[in-house]
Amino acid sequence: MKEKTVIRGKRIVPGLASGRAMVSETALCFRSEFDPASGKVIDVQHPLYDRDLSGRVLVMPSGTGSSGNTMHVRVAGLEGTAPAALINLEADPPSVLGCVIARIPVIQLEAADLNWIADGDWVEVDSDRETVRVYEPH
Amino acid sequence: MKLTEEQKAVLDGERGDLLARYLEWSILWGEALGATRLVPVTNVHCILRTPCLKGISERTLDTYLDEFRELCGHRVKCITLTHANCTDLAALREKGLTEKELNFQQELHAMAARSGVKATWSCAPYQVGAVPKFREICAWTESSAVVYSNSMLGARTNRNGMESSLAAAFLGWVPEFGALLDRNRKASVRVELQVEMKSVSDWGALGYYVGEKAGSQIPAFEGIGEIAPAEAKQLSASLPYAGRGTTMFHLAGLTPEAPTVEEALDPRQPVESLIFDRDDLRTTYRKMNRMEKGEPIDTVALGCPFSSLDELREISQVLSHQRVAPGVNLIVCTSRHTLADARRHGYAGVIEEAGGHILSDICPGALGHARPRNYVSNSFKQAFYGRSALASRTGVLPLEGCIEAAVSGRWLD
Repeated sequence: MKEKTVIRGKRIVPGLASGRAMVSETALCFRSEFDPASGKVIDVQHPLYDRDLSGRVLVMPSGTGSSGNTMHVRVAGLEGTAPAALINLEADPPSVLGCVIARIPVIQLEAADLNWIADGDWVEVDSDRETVRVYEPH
Repeated sequence: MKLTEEQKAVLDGERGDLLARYLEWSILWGEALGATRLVPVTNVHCILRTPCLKGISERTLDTYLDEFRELCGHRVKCITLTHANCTDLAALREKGLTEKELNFQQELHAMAARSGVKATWSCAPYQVGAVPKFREICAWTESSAVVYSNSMLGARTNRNGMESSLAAAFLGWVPEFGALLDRNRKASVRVELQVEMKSVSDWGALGYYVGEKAGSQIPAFEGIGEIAPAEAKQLSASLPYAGRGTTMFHLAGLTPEAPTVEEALDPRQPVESLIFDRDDLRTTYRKMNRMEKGEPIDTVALGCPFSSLDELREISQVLSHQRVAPGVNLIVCTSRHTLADARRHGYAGVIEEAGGHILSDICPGALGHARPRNYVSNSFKQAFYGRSALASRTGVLPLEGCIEAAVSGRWLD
């Protein structure tokens, strides 16, 4: 795989994970727009509608909305339908708590750096070292 | 994170493995969000319910059941109220849940009471007895209640999830970050109102509009002469939904931390200015409304966030001597305490005689089993839920419009 770039980020939840990027310019409310049983986004108006987040590196501005985000992320972790890692611009406290419990690494990037990651790219998130490695899809 | 000796002992297992684990999650959560210590908390609004999700495994459900059983063997350290449930415990009306989950919810009520938790099952704790003091450190969950508490009462809470709220309740500590600190309570968006607000729902539209523009930034509103509790509640509900988890707002001259708009603004940041006028109000309604004139309606949901006694009185007034159309499900959600009060006042009777259903404990966002298709509400937050979690066509109308829709069975707008 050809490496596109390495981006410096800020550690939110420690850990190491990799997967294909799924990119959204819109924030996601895990409690009401995501179904942990299927791993899919269920809001017809969300840009990721009907897509499966399982094992993907979810790149989006942040989680948003409900305090129930924690439970939906944790349940997804227990059910094996959770994203592998989160790359955000802002940390949404309830979503971050779910990631802490489900051991999902979360890293925060600057807005301009998100442009380096395209949907489908292979991404390695190393929250401990505060880096994101981006590879072109093959 | 700097821990006290007492906190270290809990982390080492002095109060058992489970509380040690909850403390560890709280610490990691705090570290993720920039906290350097845990501070005492005196008022908690906790989530205490099973996931209530269709299609998840028995094993996942048991993880929660086991934790609740063990947690409730302890006593809470401070005033703790419970958030809304996903079933009407008095009537067990959520038929989408398994027998096991329904039975457990009943058991949980008794367990919670034994541990000192006030089982209010309400998303609006400030309507059922939890009114924290100015600057009091709280750990609240419900996003609209968090905004209401920070903004209207001047109390201090971040947006908690289930485990951090339960850690706060049973341990008495929360990580210090975000809205708990002075420096994070200043506004960076100034909003001027150039429209006359005519209904409670209009305040929901205002929150939705500003949330979309301001993201997670705190807005300071100017030009608001007065605000009723129900109006502040709608503003608090839509703001964090359309935005990115906003924690508070200021109303110049009205809310405790905003004697003037200047005092509410952050001197360290550039300030963005927004205007909210008649066109913005109309556009915001139109954006949420997915229905066409004359289209049949099957569900009208009121009570997001939960109706107060005063709102139930208003609903009963508008609805009196009318009849809900056949095929329309008019749902009004409130807490069991408010419902008992509304029965004594005769409001509940009027609503039920007209064909409405009053549910307590349950969040109107958890009505998936009813499979609403065309869904009308007076709340922007509820319409957002309807569209996403319930996958319905939605519309928002002021209360009178909602009742008209319920009585005619059609979208008349």
